[in-house]
Order: sequence, then C-alpha cells, then structure tokens
Amino acid sequence: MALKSGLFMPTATGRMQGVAEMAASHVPYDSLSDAEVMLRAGTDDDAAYEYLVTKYHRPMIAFMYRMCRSQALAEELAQEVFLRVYRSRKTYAAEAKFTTWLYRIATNLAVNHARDHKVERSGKVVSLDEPDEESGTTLDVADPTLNVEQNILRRERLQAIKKHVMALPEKQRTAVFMHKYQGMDYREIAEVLKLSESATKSLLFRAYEVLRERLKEFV
Amino acid sequence: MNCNDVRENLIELLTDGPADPQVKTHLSQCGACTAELASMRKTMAVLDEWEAPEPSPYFLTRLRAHVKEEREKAPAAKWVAWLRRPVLAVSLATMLATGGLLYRLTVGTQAPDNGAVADIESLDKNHDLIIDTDLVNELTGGPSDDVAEP
Repeated sequence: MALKSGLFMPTATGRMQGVAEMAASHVPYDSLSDAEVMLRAGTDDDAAYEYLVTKYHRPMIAFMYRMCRSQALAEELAQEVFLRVYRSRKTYAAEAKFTTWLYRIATNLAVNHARDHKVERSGKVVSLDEPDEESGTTLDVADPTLNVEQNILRRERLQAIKKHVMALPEKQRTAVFMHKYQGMDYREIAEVLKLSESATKSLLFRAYEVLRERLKEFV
Repeated sequence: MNCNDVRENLIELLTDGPADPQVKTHLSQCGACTAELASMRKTMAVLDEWEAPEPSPYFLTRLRAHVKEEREKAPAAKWVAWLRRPVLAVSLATMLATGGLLYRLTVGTQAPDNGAVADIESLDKNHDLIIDTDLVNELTGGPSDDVAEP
C-alpha cells in the first residue's frame, strides 16, 4: 500500500525522524484522509487521534442518542467507542473507510448494550418533564418561541415519531439512522451492516415505506 | 422507464434529484409518482424533527482523562501480555512438570519409611522383645520355647 510504504511505514532512520518531526509540528490533518490520520494516530501521534475525536464526537453522540434514546448513555457509549479506537490504533489496517470502522464499532456496542439491557429498559418509565440525571437536560428541550401547550403538543408529537422509528426492526432502524441522520451512502451502510449494497437499498426502501405509512398523521 | 423503476429509487431522487433524464420525463408526466415523491419528501421532513441534543461540555474532558488512564496503564498491560505469551506458558509448564517429577522422585525414595520399612522395623523390635522375654523366662526357671536338642 502506497500509504504504508511512504509516510506511515518509514524504513530509514532519517525517514523515521521526519515522521516524528511532522507529528510534533502542526500537521494539516484536513489534507489527509481519515484513514491516513488514523494510521498516524497508530504511531502515537496523539494530535491525530485528537483530531478524529474532535471531528466525529458530535455525530457519534447523535447516532448513539438515537440508538439508545438517552443522552447520558449515548455519551457513555460514545466514550467507549473512542476508547476502543484508541486501544486499536496500533492494529488499525485501513482496509475500509475510517467511518465504516468507527460506525461498525458503534453499532456493535449499541446493539449489544440494547440486548443486554432489554428487560431493564422495558420496565423503565421515562418522564418527559424530569431532567436527565447526569446531563441535567430534559429529553427534548422546549422551544422558547412556543407556549406551554404548544410545547406539550410538540413533545408528544416527537415522542410518537420516535416510537414509530423505534418500532422498526433493528437492522432497518440502524440503517435509517445511518442514512437519514449520519448522511452515509448505501455502500458504507452495507459495509457496516455486512450486507450487500442491493440488500441495503432494499432494507432502506422497506423501512422508509413503513415510516411513510406510519407517519402519515404527522405530515 | 415505468412507475416501479421510479418508486424503487425514490430515496435517491430525494437526496440526489433526478439524474436520469428519463426519470425526469416520467415524473413530469406521472401524477402518481410525483405524489409518491412528495409524500416521501414530507416523511423525511417529519423525521428531521427528531434532533439530537448537543454533547455535554465535559465530554471531551472526560474522554481525554480516560485516554490518559489508558496510556498510563499501558506498561502494566505489556507485562500482562508478556506473561500471556505462549513461550512463557510452555516454560512455566515445563518448570512445573520438572518440579513435580523431582518431588515425586524425592518422595518416592522416602515413601517406604512410612509403610513397609516401618513395618519391618516394628517386626524387628517385636522379635527382640520376644527373645528378651524368653531369656528372662529361662533365667527365672520359667517355660522356654527353645527346642530341646536331641
């Protein structure tokens, strides 16, 4: 691979020093692909790791939030995702896009967590008004431009929308989250879910058809 | 290009627009497909209402602390990994086996002390005691188990 034989897998001592100097100085990570930045993180370039965390922590928390519907838990799971990325930095092989790898870790973590805590969650009553224990925020922040009644209606509407999305089968739901909210294309979703591209397209088509039917009353 | 072809690609049409001129033509002529597209667009707009909250301001601080912990415990982890190496495992197993064998050999030579040798010693002692008793009997004119010589 050109990447490995060039910048990231130096063979000569001078080349090694060059990489170390680059790591120490300001590196324009924006000009590199995420996979290249991740390979640099594997050479203990902490700034490279920091760059990826800064770039992806928001979308990752948002993804986890939709997967588990709790901000505190979403942040906890997102922390675990980035810690796993850190632990695997030396063995990262850049065989797939960085985001594919990242979302595969995230999806596995979220799905396993949901399965492990299924009984716990099913018995939990979530109040729409009480703030989250850890974050201190309510589940859906009230819109200050609306009055109390309008805010209640808005919340109820949002809860109903979420309920319909969450009622989708696990794979369809995850695919919708990645496609609709994370802006991922069929190929990338297919790689994360280990499906063919055509199967992913068909999975999403079915999911959106179901949602169109169920969300008719909100249109 | 028929209605099925268009409907199967509604999602792409919404995100990328009708790249294929045939699709564009079909949509301009087919009211049902246009309605389907508009309906799906509205569904997408409803889904847009589900916004994710902003990350907490401490997220990155907490993560950095975890990463620091991870970095600090790395040398210990290396030792654990070294201990888990197969070569070391084989060496330890060999040492244990050798130790076991040596113990068995050592104990093996001493084992009769606890069994047969102790019995033989006990028999010897009993024999000495019997002879002594016999001698006392003979001296005191008591019965003797000596066989009279012909």
